[in-house]
Amino acid sequence: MGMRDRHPHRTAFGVNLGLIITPMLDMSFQILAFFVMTYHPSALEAQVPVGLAEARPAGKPNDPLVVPAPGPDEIADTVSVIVKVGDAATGKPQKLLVKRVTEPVPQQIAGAEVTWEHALRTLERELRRLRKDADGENAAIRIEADGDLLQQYVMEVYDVCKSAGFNKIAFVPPPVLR
Amino acid sequence: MATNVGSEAADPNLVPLLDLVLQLIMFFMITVNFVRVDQFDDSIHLPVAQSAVPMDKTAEEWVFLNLNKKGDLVGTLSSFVLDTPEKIKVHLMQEKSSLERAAKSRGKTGDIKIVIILRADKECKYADVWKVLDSCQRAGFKYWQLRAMTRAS
Repeated sequence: MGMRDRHPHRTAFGVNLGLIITPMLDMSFQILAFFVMTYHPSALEAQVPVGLAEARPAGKPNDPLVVPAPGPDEIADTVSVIVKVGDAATGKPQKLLVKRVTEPVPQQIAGAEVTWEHALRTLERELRRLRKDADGENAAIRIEADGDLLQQYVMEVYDVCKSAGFNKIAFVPPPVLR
Repeated sequence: MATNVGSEAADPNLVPLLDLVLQLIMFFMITVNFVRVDQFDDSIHLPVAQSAVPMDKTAEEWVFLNLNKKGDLVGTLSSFVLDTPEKIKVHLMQEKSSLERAAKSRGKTGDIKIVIILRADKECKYADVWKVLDSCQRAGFKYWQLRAMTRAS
């Protein structure tokens, strides 16, 4: 007397499943592979709010950094960060200058003798110092860069201005476009 | 009464496997992000700005401008010859009009918030970025944003 076969669906050639799922598994893996290939990790792209300021008229042709006194609607605590390019071909910065709108001449923060990272740290210290004297929420910064400066350096200066506590940041047209 | 001991093959239980596979498929389907070709250009490497803020999603319409390192507008705009600020301004004015018309035909009233999204390469010159932004301003756009990466990829 043989035992009842515990697997009534077993045949001599293996298990006879009522539902054939092999093609379904196959398609599932195909779809999975597709979405794995097209998967992008969390987006790193973000936005930089842009404010556009008008350039003030330059002074004498050989002294473009001397600007007239601020207009009646200009905030007295506006600070200008000026970035000068050394070599137009490479677009790398050479000088960083800072000027309050009430001052006649900008003050050089860093030159070619230091690295760009060091220049940015010095700029941040100076801006934090100016921020303490500034009129709270109304303090504004204008970034004046040479036209040949690469966009990456402009963004790094923007970062420093933000981390120094300035929220109103405007970009000024480069000298060649004024 | 003879019994066959040890002759039964182990049948793999496919239910948990299917369950997990479908879970994974669901995850990737939900997180997939198909972007329009005219919005992003892979040749543009954005600069890094750690203080960049999350994207503003209140815009009703967008105009994507991709600027490569040479200062040329690429992507779908590469078929146009937009080599002067005036040409860029004229093209943007036409784009603005068509977006406003399309929005009004959908029943929108009042001002349509159209945002210019400028994706400028990190090696693009500041003068070229300014040229495009100035053209946008002169074309009548009020909202614009520069795109940057929050960290190096």
